[in-house]
Amino acid sequence: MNMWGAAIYAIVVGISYLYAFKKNKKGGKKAVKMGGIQFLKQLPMLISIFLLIGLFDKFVPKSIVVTLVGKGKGILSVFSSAAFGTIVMGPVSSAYPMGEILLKKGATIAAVAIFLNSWVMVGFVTIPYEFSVFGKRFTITRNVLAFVGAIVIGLLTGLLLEGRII
Amino acid sequence: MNLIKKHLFETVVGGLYVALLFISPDKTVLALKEGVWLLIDMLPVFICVVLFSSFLSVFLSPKTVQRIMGKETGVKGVVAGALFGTLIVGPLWILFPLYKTFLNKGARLAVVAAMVGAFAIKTPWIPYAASFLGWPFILITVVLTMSYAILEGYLMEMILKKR
Repeated sequence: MNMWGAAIYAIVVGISYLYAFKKNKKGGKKAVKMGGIQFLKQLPMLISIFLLIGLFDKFVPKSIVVTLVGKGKGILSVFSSAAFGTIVMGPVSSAYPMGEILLKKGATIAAVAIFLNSWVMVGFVTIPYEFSVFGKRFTITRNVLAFVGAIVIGLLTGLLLEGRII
Repeated sequence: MNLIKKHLFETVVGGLYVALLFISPDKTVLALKEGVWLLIDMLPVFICVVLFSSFLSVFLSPKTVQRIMGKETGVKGVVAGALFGTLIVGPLWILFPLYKTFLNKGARLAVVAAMVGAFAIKTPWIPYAASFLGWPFILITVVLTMSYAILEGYLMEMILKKR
């Protein structure tokens, strides 16, 4: 999946720079240099994020997460789903199969939806990176809104599909 | 000391690895391998994003950004931003430099925030997700996430503009 995602990006970048160097060689060079500097600047953060994801993956096994998501009664199950979705890191390709396992294990649709939504919408591990790019106010506001949204969307999904929210 | 402060996150992750290496060396090595593998997997995308962002910073005129994503676009611009957000693949945070470039060029905050919000919908992934969770689940999630992304755009703008 990443392969063709990367291929599409590569084509976009290729076309942009073809245009850039044809139109204004100096500008093209400037853009490459700028990109290079940005890349080197952000590389340590990037490496750290992936190494942290690796730690999560090995030290917080998926089986533990699966047994804990949606645990607790009522409102507590909502928060445990959202909390685990926020903390868990990893590619979405592994999120959907986990959702299926959770449903099979008897979790409510709302709990699974909240878990998956917060997985893709809220970035806990990447908060330091988001700080460095957008600043604290933007980052905190965005993540709080995303967290609330993940819960609201999940509850509505449960209501529409199962006729119950928890 | 200053260097540590500047790279606090990197230092903490590094420290964690060193500590865990003593506690559970096998798992730590596996984690390192996993992390490096994911990094290699995602590096081409990140390089493309950074290069595309720098291309846009040099060649995209603020006027164009303001026309497409600026203040005058109204609801249309916010919806268009959200639609654009659904097309992108890769983890959300990989694209932060691109979004930042849009903002620097005068894009409206609501438009960029809606784009970031709608990113939770990964159009290329929808059939894959549906194979696990079923179409009703996915379609409802997509519609709700899209609506929320637009709302989130306006909310972000309202909250952040206050000061």
